Amino acid sequence: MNILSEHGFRQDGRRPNQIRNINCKLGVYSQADGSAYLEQGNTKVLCAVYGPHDSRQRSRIHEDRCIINCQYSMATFSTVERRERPRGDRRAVEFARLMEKVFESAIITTMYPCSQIDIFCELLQGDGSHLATCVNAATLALADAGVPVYGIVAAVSSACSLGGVACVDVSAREEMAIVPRLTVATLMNQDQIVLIELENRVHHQHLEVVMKSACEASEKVRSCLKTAIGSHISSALGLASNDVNSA
Amino acid sequence: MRSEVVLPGDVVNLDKNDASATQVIVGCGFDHCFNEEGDQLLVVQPGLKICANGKQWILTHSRRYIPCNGDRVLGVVTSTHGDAIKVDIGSADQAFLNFLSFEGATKSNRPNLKVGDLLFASIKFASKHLEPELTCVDDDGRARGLGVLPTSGFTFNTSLNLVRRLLSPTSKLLSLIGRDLKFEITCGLNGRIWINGQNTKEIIAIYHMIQESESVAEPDIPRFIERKMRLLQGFPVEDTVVTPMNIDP
Repeated sequence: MNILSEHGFRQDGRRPNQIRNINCKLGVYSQADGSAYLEQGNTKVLCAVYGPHDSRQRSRIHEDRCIINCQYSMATFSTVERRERPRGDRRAVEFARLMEKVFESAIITTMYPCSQIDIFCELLQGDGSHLATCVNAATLALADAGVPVYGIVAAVSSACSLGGVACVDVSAREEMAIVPRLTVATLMNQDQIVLIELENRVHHQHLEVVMKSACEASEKVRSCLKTAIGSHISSALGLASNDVNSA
Repeated sequence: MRSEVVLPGDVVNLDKNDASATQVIVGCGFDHCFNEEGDQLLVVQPGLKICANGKQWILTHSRRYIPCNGDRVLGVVTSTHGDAIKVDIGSADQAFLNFLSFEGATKSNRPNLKVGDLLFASIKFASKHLEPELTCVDDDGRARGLGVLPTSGFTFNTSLNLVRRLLSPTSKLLSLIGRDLKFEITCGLNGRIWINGQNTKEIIAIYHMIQESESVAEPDIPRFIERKMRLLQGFPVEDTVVTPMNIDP
């Protein structure tokens, strides 16, 4: 089944290189150090960040850097079929480990030895690109918490259609077509890749096209995240709009 | 003084415009020099970049406190065993405090501390590798406002940026509140504030004024306080004075 129509449009009417609408809100929890709510199309994620705080598991303490602890869970009502187990299955653990690797590269961990940063992601509604949306929500939550990072992590997924055309920001209906799917996260610019995850098989000539398209789409996601963080910083610091020019 | 909003990953130039300064002091929020010439910095925290008088730093919005030398913090006593008193100051590590660090304390004259007491202390030594050390006396052995706070009053948590704003000499919020209400306040740089007033109603009103003033711009503070005072005294509030920066209860 081809996810691209003969006129070059996808099932929801997008072009191949077009991402879905991004809505977000930072600072949704008052008891968390940083929190964010993010929608990418119909995929909705809540993320909370706690820390750096004292690590309760003494065996995991590193004396030269802090450890990143991620948890990914899907709400029981988040998919079409009700899930009996919101977290702890193999896919959720895999996503949590992938996110830990991403933010170990992004967060300046050497500033807080012997401590721990917790990132909790909850998927409220799933419509494809779950891992990418969780990484973007965690980036917003870390910016709300003021944790020092090297850059803004922007993640996006990309799929390869039958004709070798790359379609970015895959939705759930496109995921059901069992096409090769790639999730890429970039740091600071599109040349620094901190996450690559590939599902299903893809020809190596198509892989380069899909990778390049995903990196370009992550720049669009990053500009959306930058706008959101900039406006949140201006409102949180109590700045009048005419006092400050945003970078 | 120039300011602009910066985001993590941005590369900014070292500010050398102030000719009177022989060296440039780089504050928090920046990482090491980015290129070989050493005149560029990497922004690692989102916030407001401020350049003034040969210094540049980033004013960030954060709730987690990182201990710094010389900061005055509000802490809660968590353990009084032995010579070291453990104090929770909301950072990644618990702080500790020697019982001789109080005014007039000796081995035979120990301060009367219990678990749960509220302490206003100064950070004597802070490092990322060690637990921070607190003290309640200055170099001359005087308290100067530090020590155990009274058991009455109300303690709440805010963001670090709001406390810095309250402690700034240009801030008018506390003086405007003090014009109508009598109250005591202790601001810890770790985002904790202790207030005490004449009755519970005024304490709650002061708490709401401080908490909601975070997103109010500094020129709008007088109208914000006037509106809150009218609400407290039961007078009707004119809606024409509401600006978009104000918080509607």
